[in-house]
Amino acid sequence: MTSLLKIMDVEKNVDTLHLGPIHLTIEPGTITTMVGANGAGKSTLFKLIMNLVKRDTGSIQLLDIETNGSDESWKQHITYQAQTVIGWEPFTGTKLKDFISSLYPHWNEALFQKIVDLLQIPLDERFAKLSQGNQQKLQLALALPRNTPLLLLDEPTSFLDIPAKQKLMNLLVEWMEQGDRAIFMTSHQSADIMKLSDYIVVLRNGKLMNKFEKESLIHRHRRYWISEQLPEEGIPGEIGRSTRYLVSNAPEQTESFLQQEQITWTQQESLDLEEILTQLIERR
Amino acid sequence: MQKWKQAWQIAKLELSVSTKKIAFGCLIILGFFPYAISYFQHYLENSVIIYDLFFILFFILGINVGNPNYWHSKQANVHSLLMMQLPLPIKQEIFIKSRFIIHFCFSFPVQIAFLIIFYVASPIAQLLSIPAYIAFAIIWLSVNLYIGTLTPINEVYPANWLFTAAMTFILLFIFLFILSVSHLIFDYGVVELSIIIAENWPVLSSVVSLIIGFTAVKAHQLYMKQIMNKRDYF
Repeated sequence: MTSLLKIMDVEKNVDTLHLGPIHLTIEPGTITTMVGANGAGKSTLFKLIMNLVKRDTGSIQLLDIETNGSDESWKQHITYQAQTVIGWEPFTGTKLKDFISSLYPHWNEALFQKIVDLLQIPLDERFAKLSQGNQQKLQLALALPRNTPLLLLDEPTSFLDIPAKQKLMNLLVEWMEQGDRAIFMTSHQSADIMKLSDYIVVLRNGKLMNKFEKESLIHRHRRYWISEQLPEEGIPGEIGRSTRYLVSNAPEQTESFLQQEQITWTQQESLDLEEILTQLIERR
Repeated sequence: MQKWKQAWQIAKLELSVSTKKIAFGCLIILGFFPYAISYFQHYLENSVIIYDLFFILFFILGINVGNPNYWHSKQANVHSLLMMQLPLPIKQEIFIKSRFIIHFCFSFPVQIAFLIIFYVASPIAQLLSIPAYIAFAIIWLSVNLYIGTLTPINEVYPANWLFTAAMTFILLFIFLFILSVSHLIFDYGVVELSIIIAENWPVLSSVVSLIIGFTAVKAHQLYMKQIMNKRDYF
């Protein structure tokens, strides 16, 4: 399958953060969520993709077009929704819609109207006068109908209320069903990730740790409740422990070791996604 | 021309919400009109440098002093419309042209209005015939083309208001130096010199001014592109 987005060996120095080397591909039909602590470089990576921030080394290609080259046609194929939008403040939703829709040949007016009705977005008020939640709703209403193959969403639900979040997730799922598209997003909301993501990318201090398939990530993180004393040395797969339990990201190896050492566990369970993400983000 | 038309479509968005900015800028500039007209005779007799300075600044900036976009967005340390439009599928060349159009909309109309009023209300009509005055007008409108078009470049600089203020003071100092040299060497100020040039060589002065002006507009667009391709927009 041809990748929509190819990021190859990209590096960038920003103040004290060294981002990269990043090597990542985004395939059509997938939703990938990038997670990481604040300041890990998530928003910077999005800005590197959009060529708003210039890379020091490496290559970023959208549909095989280098994003820092003279061919600017790649911008027709990507929608970027920043965490904080700048410059929209003086305009009403209607004016923004007229302007943005004129730039995208595949603009879906019916979808725009549907989102506006569903999320009850006031279009006649200036963007600056809208609440943060309504600003975010308007941004989304102006992002999805562009119908570009790739959608970059930086914290798309951070200001949304619970019903709006649910509606948005349904809209994103519907949007994905309409063709060979992909979403690459950042989020701190584990519920969003749980519902939407196919893949999870972990960024830690500017380094891309891995790209995980969500289901296998959940499947391979397990907690074992143990009543006996655990050996002090590390146990295969161990990524955390307390006096009463052991957390592993390699259950087969862990179980085999425990059986070999004749240590029995009283119960085992999957970790919830939030715990797994915490482990991945904070692991030293 | 097609590219300028596309750029106009982009510029229209900002112009549609610029009524207050234009009104504010006009209000500031209105103070300049009576001064420029009533002191003209005094200037001719005494060659006052400050009169030259006001003239130059007016033909560089127009009413851009009333346009907050002349200053950078505090939030992004960059022109805010730039941050809005850069991720959109607008070609860089079209975007740059649109910034120039915004500058021209904030300068040429008021400058042309001033030149018309100046001819009618000041004693300059006694010094210059209509063709010579047209040459005088072209000389001064060209100043906007070759110096004024540095204003949109300011929008993409990695700068804040302190940088802009510092640059403004440096430019003022340079202008004052040039004006002083002009007064010392020729015994005339630049406005007087432009009157003499327009009177004696109306066609040549117009053609040369326009060539320099249009070349500068082209060069400044390329320079703006270079800056945009180098800097980061966080």
